[in-house]
This record gives sequence, C-alpha cells and structure tokens, in this order.
Amino acid sequence: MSAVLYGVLAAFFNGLLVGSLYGLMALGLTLIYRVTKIPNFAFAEYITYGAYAAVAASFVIDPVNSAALLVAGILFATSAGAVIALASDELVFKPLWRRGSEVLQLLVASIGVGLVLRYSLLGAAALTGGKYLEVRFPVTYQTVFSVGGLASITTAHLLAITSMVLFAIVLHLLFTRTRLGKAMRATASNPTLAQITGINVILVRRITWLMAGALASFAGFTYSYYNPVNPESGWITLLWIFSAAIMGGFTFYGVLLSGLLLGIAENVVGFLANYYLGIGSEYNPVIALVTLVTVLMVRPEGLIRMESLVVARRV
Amino acid sequence: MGSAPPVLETLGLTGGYGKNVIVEGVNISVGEGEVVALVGPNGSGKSTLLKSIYGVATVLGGRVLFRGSDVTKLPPERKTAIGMNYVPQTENIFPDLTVRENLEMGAYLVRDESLVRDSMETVFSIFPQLRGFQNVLAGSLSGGQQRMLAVGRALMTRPKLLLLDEPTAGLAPKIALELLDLLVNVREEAGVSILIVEQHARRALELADRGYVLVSGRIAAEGDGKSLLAREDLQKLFLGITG
Repeated sequence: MSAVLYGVLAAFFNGLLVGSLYGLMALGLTLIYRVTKIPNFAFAEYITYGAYAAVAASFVIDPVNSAALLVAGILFATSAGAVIALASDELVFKPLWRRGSEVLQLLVASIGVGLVLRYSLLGAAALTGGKYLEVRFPVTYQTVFSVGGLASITTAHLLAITSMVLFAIVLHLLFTRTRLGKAMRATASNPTLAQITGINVILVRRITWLMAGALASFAGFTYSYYNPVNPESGWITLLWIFSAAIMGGFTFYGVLLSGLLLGIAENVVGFLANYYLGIGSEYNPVIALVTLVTVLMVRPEGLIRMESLVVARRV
Repeated sequence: MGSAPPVLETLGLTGGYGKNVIVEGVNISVGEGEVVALVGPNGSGKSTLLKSIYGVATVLGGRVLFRGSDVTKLPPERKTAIGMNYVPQTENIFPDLTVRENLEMGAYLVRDESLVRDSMETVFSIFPQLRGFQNVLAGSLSGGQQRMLAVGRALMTRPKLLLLDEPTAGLAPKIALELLDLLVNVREEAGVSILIVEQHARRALELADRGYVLVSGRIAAEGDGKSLLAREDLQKLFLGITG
C-alpha cells in the first residue's frame, strides 16, 4: 500500500475515534439544550470531572482487576457527572430561569459555572503536588486489528463508537416513544402548558440534568481511556462539541453524524494538508472551524437534521 | 339546574396579579351541559377572571366551587386532574410536538391507554381537519388548526368544564366564526360545559345558553344570549367590536 493511502487510513481510524467522542459528548449537550434551552458552556467540565472520577475509581479497585475497574470507572464517572450537572442547575440555572433569564444570560452564567468547576479541579490537582495535573485511566486499550501496524482499530474505538450509537438510539427512542421523553419535549416546548397538563416540570428538569451529566462524564471516562486528561481537557474540546451539536441541528442522530464528520474531516484533511503542503497538525482545529463556519453560512439550521426522518416538519 | 350543584360557581371572586385587583366580587355559574359566554370590552378582565378560576392568576378573595366542592386553592394541574381544563389565549399548544403528541400530552394524567385512544377519536370527530395532520408538528399548522388542537388538547382529560380564553383571537373573521360553530359540537360530542371568553360577542351570545357582561372587572349584566343582545344599553359595550 502506498504511503499516502496508508496515512489516510490511519488518519481515518483516528478520526473515527475522535469523531465518535465528539458525537458522544455532544449528545448530552443536545439533551440539555433541547429541554432547557441553555447553551451550557459548563458542560465541558462535566466531561473533565467524569474523567477524573473514573480515574479515582482506581483508588478503590486494584487496576490488576481490569474488568472490575472499567465497571467501577463508569459508575464513578456517571454518578459524579450526574450530581455535578444537577447541582449546577439547582444552584444556578434554575433560579435564573425562574427569574426569567434569557438565553444570553444563561449562557454567560454557564461560562461562570464552568470557570468555577474548572479552576476548582485545577486547584485541587495542583495541591496534590502536580501528581494529578494529568491523569489517565489505568486500564489501557488493546488493538483489535491493525493494518500494517500503525493504522489500527482499538478497544477505545469500539467503546466510543458503540456507546455513541447506542446512546443516540436510546435518546431518540426516549424522545419519540416514551411518556417521559415526550414530557421532556413538551416541557421544552411550552413549560407553562406542560405544568397545566399535569407534567411535573421540575422533576422532568432534574431527570434531564442527571441524564445529561451522566452522559457527559461517560464521555469523559471514554476520553481518559484512550488519552491523558487534564483539568482543561473538556474546556479545550468544547468548541468541537458545540460544532457537532450545531451542525447536527441539536438532533441526536444529526449530532452523532456531525461529530464523526468533524473528527474524520479534521484528521484526514489534516493529514493530506500535512503530506502535500507541509502544514502542521497544529492547524487541524482550523479545519474543524472552517467546516463549522461553512455549515452555518450554508445551512444555519444545521447540516443534518435527522428529525425529519421521524416527523414531517412542514405541512 | 335542579338540585344538583352547578358545574362551576364563583362566590364573590376577586382576582388579579400580585396585589393588583383586576376582577372584583364576581358571582357567575355554569350549569351542567351549559355553554356560557363571557363578553365585555377589551381590558374588562375577562381573561383574568378565567385565569383566577383556574388558578393561573392570583385569587385575592372569594371562592371557586367545582361541582359543589371548593377548589379555590387547588393549583391548575390539580384542577386538570379533577375534571376542569383550560385553554389559554396564547401559547396553548406544544409547537415542537406533533399533533398526536400534543393530544397525548393533554392526556398526561390519564393512565388508561384505551381511554386516551377514545378521547383522541372524539377530538378527531369534532375537528376532522386534525386527523390528517397527526404526525405534523403542531407549530406548522395554520392558526385555525392550532386553536382546534388547543381545544382538542384540553378535551383529552374528558373534562366536565372547559374554560376557553378567546379561542378565536387573531384568526381571520371567517375562520373565527367557523371555529365558534365547531365549539358547539364540542358540547354535544364531549359532554362538557363551557365557559368561553369571546371577542366575537354577538356570535358568541347567539351560540351560548347564557352570557355575562363584564365591565371594569365587575359583572354588569347577565341573562340568556338573546335578551342580552336585545338590550340597547349594552350595544355599544360589546357590539362595537367585531360581531
């Protein structure tokens, strides 16, 4: 196989992994946005906290027992994320919403919540003498198959892709088939009317935050499974998460495809630009941003609105 | 009305927003199977009266009786559960849900699936236009269809009493009058008593069994529709508006 094809394949495989992480992360963001209309910048920190909580599981479970540690890591991560997400709503977003805050105010508040969470973690990590300024989940991924030794599919790929697809399907079914999911959408669509019809809008809101937080930190766990994570990892990824969510029109399947598209485009185009033009991989983010801006200019409602597969949007 | 208590009765009801009194000392009643129209000039407090009855506005005094029992303090969702329902004037549908889902959410408190299906059939037989749009997002329906859906949503709990706040507001006159005619079917098909606030006062009073005229937050006149329409002193109060 020629070197360029080989490189493209490696970049594609890497893009697949990174892209499914973007998609996975964007699912929770989408859930919060759709039910509460908050573009939540603090979402990034739920991811970071999830990664740290997963690593914290290794204080309890011996890393030798890797299967048990994986399970414990997931449990630690999802519970931490769920609690932190719920707390940020109860303490900040819900009170603001009750006072009639608009989207812009909620957005700025979420940046504030994010700052508090991020630098609390950074401060705590620094206090430990820097030992936890960067963490990695103690169980390392395995190569499942490999083309020529460098372009490989690993268990990290399987975890990220499977969970992303699974969660997207579950969320979609939840929203379109279940009483709870429809109540979530009804609450998002018209909270006053939802309350009159007997929907417990406060409970619906709490469930939403718990689920979204758990999803975010599950993504954080997955992140730490294949890559070292530091207190700013979530924050640094947030732009890609928002890009995937916006390109996907804040629909679950759309977000999934957009995440993959971003990850693959960034890696494959990045590789080609490097190979042919000598442009360094530090310019990869530019590719993602150019993709986003282009999409916003051409289709401001999102590149892929997968909802149209389920319900007719116009008569 | 006989010996059975009226479906709805207000006793000296005073209501408003915060401490602002908008309606004061209102005594009205709606009998079993009656359609009662609440008319009056703009700003006379018609909508506020409805909201006070349902608990969306603040009750500052007096009592609300539903089938003889005091419901003054019940929150709106509890009233929905015991057989009242309310269609707000605006934002009365879930625009991001399909027509079918809107109706399902209307029946959120009804756990029996077959009851929900029956109610949905009733709604579709009253408003046949909605049947073909079941899987369409409610927000993309026409204005008239959205009002039909709003009323249909409220019928899903099989209420004994329906409070309608200007169901024709903002509709083209022709469509508004068509909708008002359909509302008479609502009583027949769903067996519900209706208290309706309406701008098309003349048409509403013609269709209703009885009417109340609300002026500056107080009941200025009451009686059956025909006699209210015949009273010359009331003409300019409400007939100056669209008839």
